[in-house]
Amino acid sequence: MFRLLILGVALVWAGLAHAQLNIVATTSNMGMIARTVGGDAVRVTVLAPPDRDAHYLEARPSMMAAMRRADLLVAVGAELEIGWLSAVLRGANNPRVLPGRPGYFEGAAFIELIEVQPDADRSGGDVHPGGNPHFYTDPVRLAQVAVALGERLAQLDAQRADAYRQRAAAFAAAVDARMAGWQARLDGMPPVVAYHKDMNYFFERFGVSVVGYIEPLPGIPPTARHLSGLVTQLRGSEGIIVHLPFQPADGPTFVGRELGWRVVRNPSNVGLRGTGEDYLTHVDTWVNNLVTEN
Amino acid sequence: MFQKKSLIGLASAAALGVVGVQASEPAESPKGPQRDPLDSPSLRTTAFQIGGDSQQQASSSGFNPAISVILDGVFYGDNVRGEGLEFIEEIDGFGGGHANGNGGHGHGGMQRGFNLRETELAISATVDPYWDGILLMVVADGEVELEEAFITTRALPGGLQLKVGRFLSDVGYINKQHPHSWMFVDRPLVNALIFGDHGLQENGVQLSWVPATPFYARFGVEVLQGESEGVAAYIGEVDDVAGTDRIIGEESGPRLFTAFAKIAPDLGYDHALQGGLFYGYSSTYQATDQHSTRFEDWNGDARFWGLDVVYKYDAGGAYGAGNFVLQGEYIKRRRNIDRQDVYFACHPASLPCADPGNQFQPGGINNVQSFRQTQDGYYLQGVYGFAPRWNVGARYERVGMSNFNGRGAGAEFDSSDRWTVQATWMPTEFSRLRAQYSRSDFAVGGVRETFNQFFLQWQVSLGVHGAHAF
Repeated sequence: MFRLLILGVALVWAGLAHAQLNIVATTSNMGMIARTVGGDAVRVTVLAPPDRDAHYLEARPSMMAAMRRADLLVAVGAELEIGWLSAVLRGANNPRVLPGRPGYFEGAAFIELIEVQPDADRSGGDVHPGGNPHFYTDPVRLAQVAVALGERLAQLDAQRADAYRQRAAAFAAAVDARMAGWQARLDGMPPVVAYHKDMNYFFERFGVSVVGYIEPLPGIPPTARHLSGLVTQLRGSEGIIVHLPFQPADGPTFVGRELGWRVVRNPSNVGLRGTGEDYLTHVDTWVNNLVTEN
Repeated sequence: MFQKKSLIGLASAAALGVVGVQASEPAESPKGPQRDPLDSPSLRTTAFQIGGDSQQQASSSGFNPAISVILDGVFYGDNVRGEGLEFIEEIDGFGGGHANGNGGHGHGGMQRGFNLRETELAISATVDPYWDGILLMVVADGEVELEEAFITTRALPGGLQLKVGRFLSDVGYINKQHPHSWMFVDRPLVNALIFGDHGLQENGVQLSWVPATPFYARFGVEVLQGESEGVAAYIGEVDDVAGTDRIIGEESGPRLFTAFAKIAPDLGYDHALQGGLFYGYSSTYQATDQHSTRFEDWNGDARFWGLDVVYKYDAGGAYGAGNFVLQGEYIKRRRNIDRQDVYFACHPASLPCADPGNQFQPGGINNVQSFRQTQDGYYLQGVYGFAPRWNVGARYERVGMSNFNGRGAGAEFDSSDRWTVQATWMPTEFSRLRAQYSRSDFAVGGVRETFNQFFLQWQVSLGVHGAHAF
């Protein structure tokens, strides 16, 4: 019995004593960035699966177990995860990854946010006064975050600093190389109606105008009255309706049918083990979905 | 390599007592008290939030301290002239009065019609790099009560956290939750009857430990003053009666000690399960009951143990649709009581004191006995999100399956049970409306009381954005 215990402890210890950095990423897009920049020097655990709305997650025990062992937390930030990340941090008893420590990395801190509404209150729905947190739909901003993460990893693990910086720069270059192509295809796009403000960075980056939202206010489920108002307002015009997989399709379908607009379902996050290449393909998919007539 | 570095850091930090975090950046962000994974996130989990500093988008987290308020109103009705809530306190084997000497607490609470329940005000902030602090006040019936006021460590190494102050014990699942975290209007019977109206709420310290394991586990011990009425009722110094000492007296605190363990395996993204075990020992349980001519005094100790389990299913639907929560707890309590009655008047009172027919003079002692009491109870509840922003739930509770009262000749009481159903609408994360119906079948004073209760509740959260509930 005692021998078994010792063996168990030894095994656990051996499992812990690896040279990799333990990174916990809140979403699979942030996990993708961590993996892209960290390479095989890091081990990444993603807390929110790609098919879930990161606004409405609940803290799970496995999140806290992962956070307890983390050397670095890579979050989207700007309050996207406010509903559960603080709960996970409190459950983990791991001071290394608390905000303000080098082990806490929040992407939103390194880019320029849009839709900053310092005077917002909650009569406007579930708003983020600090700005729209969904920056990861803009490849340029995501590349900026990759570079910042490279610096952070270089700080945490100085021996591999150059490798981190190089991989971050390579991702930024790959994004850069494709920007002109994406922009060319999206020029002249008709306006869109989105479900939530979660693709706005993408639309802003490529000059696509957003003329309405399926949600009456951020975080409030669509009402019949709001949808018929939207239809009345937009009747006779051209456009596309965009929503994400985890958003109910009935609202978008109704408005699409009434207006005769195409409804596009865009994936929001790369897969759990997605790579930088997957993300670029993802942006290709967004672009294809928008420009391709079915 | 990195691991080695952090180990050295850890070791040196341990030597210093606290991790030296000041070296890098000043840590402004609240961390807050230890929280278990499946704790109900509630309207406002706590006022703690991720604070802002240079590495973070400050946004609304510029508040320091963070303030939040919960308003909670209930329209109440029953078919027993408003006595439904009092029956709860008189359930055989648990209730007040002569049955167990708890004394009449008489906290009936709500009236039929409109009630404003607890209005809860929470203020929290990071004290310095080492401590977070929280103050939680409740205003009810025009009285202000300090529910919780404690500090927790931010930077202990090795997954340790210390909590110091007045707080709700971490034993069980629902005990540390405030009313806005419950999925029903009222507290489960077993928690209220075994620990008291406010649960196990005490002054003391707690040390908890989260090991770095692949699954979640948390272990903790608490050293508490011991004042909760159900397990650690305390009276202290009382005057003697005509020269006769009473068995109740001053006992130094801490008098209540608890331990708990919570374990949650990793079940992937859709399922979450947490199980808990707990034990408590109270070195002192004191009660007195004033009869017409004598004090009935109890002095003893108490033990309790229990287990709790929570399962949550995340369907991935919009706004909580399809989600399911199953939760249950069992608690058992045993009290060892020494009883001694002391007369403060001549007995029987119908005779003059000088009458030779008097059995007892003031200071006389009677009913010296020792006995053991055992009570238990459980609840089991399920809540299902049947549509976006809506849920329905059902709860079954039973108390007193084991219900022995050793007082006098000893008595075995019946058990009591209750069925409850509720429906809740949550327009946003910050507000909810709930309708609830209960059917109770209680043993009260040896007779069965069956009655219905109806509640309509509104709850809103003002201030800092807590963790999302749904």
